[in-house]
Amino acid sequence: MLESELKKRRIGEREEILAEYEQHFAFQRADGFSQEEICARLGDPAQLAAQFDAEGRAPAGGGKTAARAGIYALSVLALALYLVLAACGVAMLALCAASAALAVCLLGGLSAGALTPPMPYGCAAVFGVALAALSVLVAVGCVYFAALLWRLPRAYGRFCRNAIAAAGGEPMLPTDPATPRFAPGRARRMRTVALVAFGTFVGFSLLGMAVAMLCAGALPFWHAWGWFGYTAGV
Amino acid sequence: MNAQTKKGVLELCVLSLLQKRDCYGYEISQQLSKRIDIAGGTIYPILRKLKNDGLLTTYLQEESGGPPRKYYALTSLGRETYCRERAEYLDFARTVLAMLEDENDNKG
Repeated sequence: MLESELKKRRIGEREEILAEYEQHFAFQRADGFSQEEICARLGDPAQLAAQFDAEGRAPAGGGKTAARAGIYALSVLALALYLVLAACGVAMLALCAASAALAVCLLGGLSAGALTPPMPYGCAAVFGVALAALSVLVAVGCVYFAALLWRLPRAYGRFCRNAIAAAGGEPMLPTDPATPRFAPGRARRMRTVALVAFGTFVGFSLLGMAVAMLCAGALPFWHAWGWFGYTAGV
Repeated sequence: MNAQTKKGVLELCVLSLLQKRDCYGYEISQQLSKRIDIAGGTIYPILRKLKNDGLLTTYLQEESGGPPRKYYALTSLGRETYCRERAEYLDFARTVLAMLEDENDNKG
């Protein structure tokens, strides 16, 4: 009823006005009023529509089209950036897998295709622990990064919606944070694991180097063991 | 009471409610119809006019178990306008009251 009256008068933002009345009906129904009662108490639709007519026309919706075009242009850049970020995520995953594999080789005393440089097993074990810690650290990073990649499109979607709404003078929804949100317990566990892994990595790396220097009897132990193409024993 | 007389005062009432806190449309409609005899739907054109005049802004807030509600909030211009018009209205109402009561006394 009201809709047809509004249409007759060519009032802008009809949907927004009607949405407000629909909410009014929903609330009244929830309060236990029948459809007829609500209508009777609402007032005459023709009169209401006339009031909207008198209350000034909505500003033209030109801004909205411009905002939409801007958003499309921006989205191309955003998509490119997102792909770069996704590639970083894949690289992190690879780093995680590689350090885990190396840790297994060093700890297990395996020499896969002579890729690991020669050193006494004691040193290899210490370095192995350091790399295992690095692998765990990067794995936590991967989980966080994946959550970030999951949230970003949503936050961006909300941003676009609000930008267009703002251009049209419509109300905005609260912004959606891009930072990942974990359950408090989970976030705490992740932080603890990451801190322990980081400490272990740094500690065991330094310890490994110290042990290697002692074993080789030289400060540049990589020279003594002939790593990186140096001749052994120099 | 004359609808036109009421309307100007209703704007002031809406501003007064929103000056206390932000409300959604239905809330305002309920608060006002509790005290003043108005049709439930008349509040929305008023809200719209106040918004178009720049006295109000709207924002959506998500509620659990329902569509987001449209809240109305006073702008700084709205706050200023309210303060000014409130003083003017109170002054005016006092004068009117005094005049009307004075007339009663004369008759009695």
